[in-house]
Amino acid sequence: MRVAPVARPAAPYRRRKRLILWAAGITAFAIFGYDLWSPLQGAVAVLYIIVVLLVAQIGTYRGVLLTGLGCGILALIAFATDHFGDPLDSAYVRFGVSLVAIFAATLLSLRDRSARTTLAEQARILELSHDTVIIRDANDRIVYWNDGAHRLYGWAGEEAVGKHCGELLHCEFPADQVDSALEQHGHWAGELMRDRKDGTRIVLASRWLLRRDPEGNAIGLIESSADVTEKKRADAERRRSEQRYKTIFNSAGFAIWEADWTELHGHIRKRVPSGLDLAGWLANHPEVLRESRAPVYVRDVNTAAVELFDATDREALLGNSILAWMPAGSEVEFASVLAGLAGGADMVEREVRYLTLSGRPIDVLLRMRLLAGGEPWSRVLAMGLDVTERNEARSKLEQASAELAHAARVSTLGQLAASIAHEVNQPLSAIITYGKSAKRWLAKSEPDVAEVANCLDQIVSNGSRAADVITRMRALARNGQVQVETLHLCRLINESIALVEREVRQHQIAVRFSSGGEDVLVTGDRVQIQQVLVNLAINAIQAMCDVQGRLRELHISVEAEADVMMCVSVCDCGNGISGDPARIFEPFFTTKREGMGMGLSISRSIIEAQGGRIGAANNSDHGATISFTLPVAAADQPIRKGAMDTSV
Amino acid sequence: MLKQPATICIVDDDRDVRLSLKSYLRAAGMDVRTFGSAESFLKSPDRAETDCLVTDLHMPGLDGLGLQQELNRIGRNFPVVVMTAFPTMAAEAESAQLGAAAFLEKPIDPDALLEKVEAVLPRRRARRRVGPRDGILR
Repeated sequence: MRVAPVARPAAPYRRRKRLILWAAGITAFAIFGYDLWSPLQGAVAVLYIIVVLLVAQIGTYRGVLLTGLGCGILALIAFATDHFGDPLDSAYVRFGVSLVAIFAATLLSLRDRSARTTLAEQARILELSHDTVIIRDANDRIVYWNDGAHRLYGWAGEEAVGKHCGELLHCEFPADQVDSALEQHGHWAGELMRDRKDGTRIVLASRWLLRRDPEGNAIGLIESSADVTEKKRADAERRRSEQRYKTIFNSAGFAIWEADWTELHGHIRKRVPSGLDLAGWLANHPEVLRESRAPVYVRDVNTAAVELFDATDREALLGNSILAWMPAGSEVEFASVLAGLAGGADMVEREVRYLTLSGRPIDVLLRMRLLAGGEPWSRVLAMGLDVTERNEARSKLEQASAELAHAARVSTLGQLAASIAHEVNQPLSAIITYGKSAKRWLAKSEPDVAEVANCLDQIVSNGSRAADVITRMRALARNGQVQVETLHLCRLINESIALVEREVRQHQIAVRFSSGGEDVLVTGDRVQIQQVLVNLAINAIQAMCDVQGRLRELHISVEAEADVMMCVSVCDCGNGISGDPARIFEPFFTTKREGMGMGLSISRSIIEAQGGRIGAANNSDHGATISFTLPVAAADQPIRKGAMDTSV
Repeated sequence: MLKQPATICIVDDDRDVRLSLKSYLRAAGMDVRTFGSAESFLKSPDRAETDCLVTDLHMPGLDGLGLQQELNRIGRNFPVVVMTAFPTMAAEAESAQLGAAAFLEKPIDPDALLEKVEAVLPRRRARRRVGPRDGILR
């Protein structure tokens, strides 16, 4: 079945052609001569078939036809010369048979020629194919092997033809599957592995076709294969790469999501006046993003994103979810992101505030980039780092340092009170001593009047000294540069509670603050009112120190009183005030061993200086409540804000 | 009564306090010396004649506790009564540790002070007869 190579050298072919033509010519004349002059009676003209068959090997279609015709004419000439005018006998029959034979041989030669030409064409097509074409017989023996097969496997046709295909190439394929496919459909397509001549193992995509003889019996296979080793390797690498990307995407400790911005980008593109650069225009028109209702489509999110946005599962964030929308107030940031990416930036980073699915505000440091592949803007990768805690810590730090400065100012009350106590204590001590001393001098058998007079002088002077201290202190509390301003009362109370946190923890006190909703504005001196609040809170805490068997609760409440005043109540559940509760505001009244009894007296001075009133009462069950009032701020007064304001 | 008046030394930075106590204890028949600081008491020759020391705790310079420590270091043979306007548990405990015979809060009740001083004096005298060097009272 090996077909002669197409690119046959021209010279040998022409030589052979000439040889055959000479042979055909000589044969023809030999037959003619013999036919003409031989005395033997026989169908010699039948031998012209040899001439036709010879020419048929090399001649053209017309050449064969002319040869057949020429042979017929030669036979006719010979017959006419020998038998013209003879009566009809066996010679006529022989001549007729010869002509029929020549005619038949010519026709068959022509048909064989055209069949051979078709086969040669087909064979050339096989040769031209880049794929391998191998034809095998029923015993797996290779009977045809094209140049493609040579190139791929490394075996030349001469080496391969006649060998067992399986032995030569060490085939590996799903035999059962192939058998059943060939049996049922007559062909099979799939992948198989083979060795090349140099020993490398390759993967092939192969198509096998069952060859059948005219009776329909299987007589082997025709197969065409292409090397897909490189493609398979590239596919596997691509899959591995995609898998690696997925793994990183999903296991990253920070939120990642991928979104399709095609529509949004297209929408904005349309809004940009022609001839203008998108990036430049967008930076000046961030409102377009807000106006734009074109959806962004979220393709994929990772588990960290699910956690960050308080979602129950990935699906909650896919599609047209909260991640698809610019958080309110962050249009400028997103416009700059879009502008940056449109301007060709590799990566753009901005901090924005999102609301999670549960409504929790979170600060997210967004890092966005366009992914290569596919439509531009169809894959925008966003990486979000949760910086809420960092921001909170930073603002807490700022707040703490402001509070520290503030607390230092508030604590000067304590220092002031301590120094006042000492200053009052000394003259008091002296007065008592001089008094008792005078009594002793008088009680002597001979009273020493001079000593008594000295004692009395000292009593007077020490009394004045003590009074001076009290006067100075009260003046300080009453007039000490009172700065009347508008204050958020509830905020002030919360700050004061924060200042006594240490005491609250130390004595395991439960603090409750009820304000009845909105914060109210009052007028007063911020520091002084806070001093009062801290003082009352500490008193309440100390009153509950020894409480056992019930909850130690410090309850601070705010309520309106007669429209123009707000009333703040500080309620403890200690043992209450024995005697007249109003006495506690008198100077030097104290129930504490360490106390100097000035705190509430000063508190009263402060509150009264701000136009308020302070009062105390025992609770019906446990403890006491100290309440004070402050005037409500008029609506048009400027507002001074809370803890961050260090100017107070 | 005592054959000769006991010598009481008072150390307090507040002039009114120390002078009022001096007046009272003198009226009670005692010999009283006053000092404005711990340092001046330590330097004074009166220290050798002291029968009882009454000292404030809070003073500029060497304070009451420091004075007690210094006296313990150089050796003393008289009792110490401590007064303070800031009576903390810690200060009281430390004074007791250093050998204070009494701890009084300001404002001082002079009657109570006299009582304390008289209470510690006979004990000291009794001991002086046994031996002059076993001074530190605990």
